[in-house]
Amino acid sequence: MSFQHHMVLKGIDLTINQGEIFGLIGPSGVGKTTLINILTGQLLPTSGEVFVFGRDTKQLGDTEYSQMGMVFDVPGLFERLSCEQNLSIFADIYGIDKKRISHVLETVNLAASAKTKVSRLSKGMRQRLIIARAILHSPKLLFLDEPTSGLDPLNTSDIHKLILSLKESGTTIFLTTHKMDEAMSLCDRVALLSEGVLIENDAPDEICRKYNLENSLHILLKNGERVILPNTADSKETISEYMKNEQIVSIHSSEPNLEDVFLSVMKGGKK
Amino acid sequence: MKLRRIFAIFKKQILDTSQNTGVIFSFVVFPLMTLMFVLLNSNSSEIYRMHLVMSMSTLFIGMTPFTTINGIIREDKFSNVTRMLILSTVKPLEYLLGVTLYIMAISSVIAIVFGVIGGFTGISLLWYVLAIMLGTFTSLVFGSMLTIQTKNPSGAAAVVSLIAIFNGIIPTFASSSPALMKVARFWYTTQIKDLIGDMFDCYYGNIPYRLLIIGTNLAVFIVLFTVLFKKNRIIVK
Repeated sequence: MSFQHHMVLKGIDLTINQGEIFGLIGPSGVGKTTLINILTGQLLPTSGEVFVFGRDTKQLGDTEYSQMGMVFDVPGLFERLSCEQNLSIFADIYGIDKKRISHVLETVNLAASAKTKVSRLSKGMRQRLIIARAILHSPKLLFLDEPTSGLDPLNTSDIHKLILSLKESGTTIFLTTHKMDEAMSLCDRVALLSEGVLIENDAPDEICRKYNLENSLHILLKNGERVILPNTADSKETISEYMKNEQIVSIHSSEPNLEDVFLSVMKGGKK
Repeated sequence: MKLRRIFAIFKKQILDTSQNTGVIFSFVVFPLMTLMFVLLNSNSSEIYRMHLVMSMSTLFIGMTPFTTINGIIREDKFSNVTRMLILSTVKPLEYLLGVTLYIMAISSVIAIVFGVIGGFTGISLLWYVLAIMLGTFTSLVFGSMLTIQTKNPSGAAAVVSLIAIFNGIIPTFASSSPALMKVARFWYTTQIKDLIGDMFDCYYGNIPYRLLIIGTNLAVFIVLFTVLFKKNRIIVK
């Protein structure tokens, strides 16, 4: 994908499996939203092919869009209308039962604010309403573009619980984020996007394991001493000795977390 | 094209209007002014009332639908409402039809108010309302045509306001300037004003000529709208 001869996305090759939470992670401005816009048919790729529900995104129609839910950084809410009225209009558009509105508002914990005007909602409540609108028609595929960006930990936690419950109900979720802990806790698989290129595409634990170059164990002893041992069979007798003498406070593997991997990749580190 | 989606947009606008005093004001300002002037000059002649209704309803046709559709589309376009609607299966044309239907519905009520103030009754009131609706629809296509290629919201607001003033006032100025009338008679608001005047006079000889000019204006706007719509759509790229 290129804009004015500047390549934004290069050689992207990925498949999202049904029912999984797929996370696209990368720093701001790296092309995550551009990729979502391509997947949702809002932008056409300058080369290559993109298929959603087996259909070329150039030809997406009502059938596909009615199975897709979207949460973008630009809300597009009807500011002067209430939460309930906002959802009511989309219920009319999709031709679904109005009873679903109260159910969805309860799901996102907004039932008490059903009659509140959108312009009076807090940022967290607005975000939950945007998610409510995205799941109103029970989509099979949900695009979430940085859904917890700028939210406090409580709202973030609520949205995480909601995302996991949607996955349990069989929804496929495509999530972009620059929060590594979010990707780690929610995603079945993550892809790391750097300068328009996919660097990694695997389960978060697998990626962390790949970048575990040190492969050692960090042991903190009761006397305050920190011991680093190779994570191999050779260390078993030393560890066994520490345990026998009840000297160990904690043991950690040297495996990096997703944030360490991310920083390493962004700084040009190799696995 | 699905009717339920057009009505969803219509419903959105109706709900929005109940919370938007600015839009309500833009619809009622001209009939209210007309009523006020009539009441203030209760001893005035039938001709005064006729000219007042003719001028005010022409101002309404030239300005209100034009600025209202521009305001609605511009707000929805730049707040990404149209983008979300289109991604939720609403076709751009369905959106425009929903907004058009809403303005036409409110304008028809305003037209009845104007007609009653003007003293029209029965079938003549119906013809008067139809004339207003024809003018309203032409203004809506003209307004949509200009709005869909808007790239700068504040700049567009200024341009639209100026065009709306020209659109509403030109027939009144032209009626007292033969030189201006030579050009203005080819503009739809001038012909709508004269059509209303003919109705007051119960003279129907010029109706085909007036409808031809209004129809030509409308056809040109529709062609231009189609070309610009294909090029620009109604979402921010």
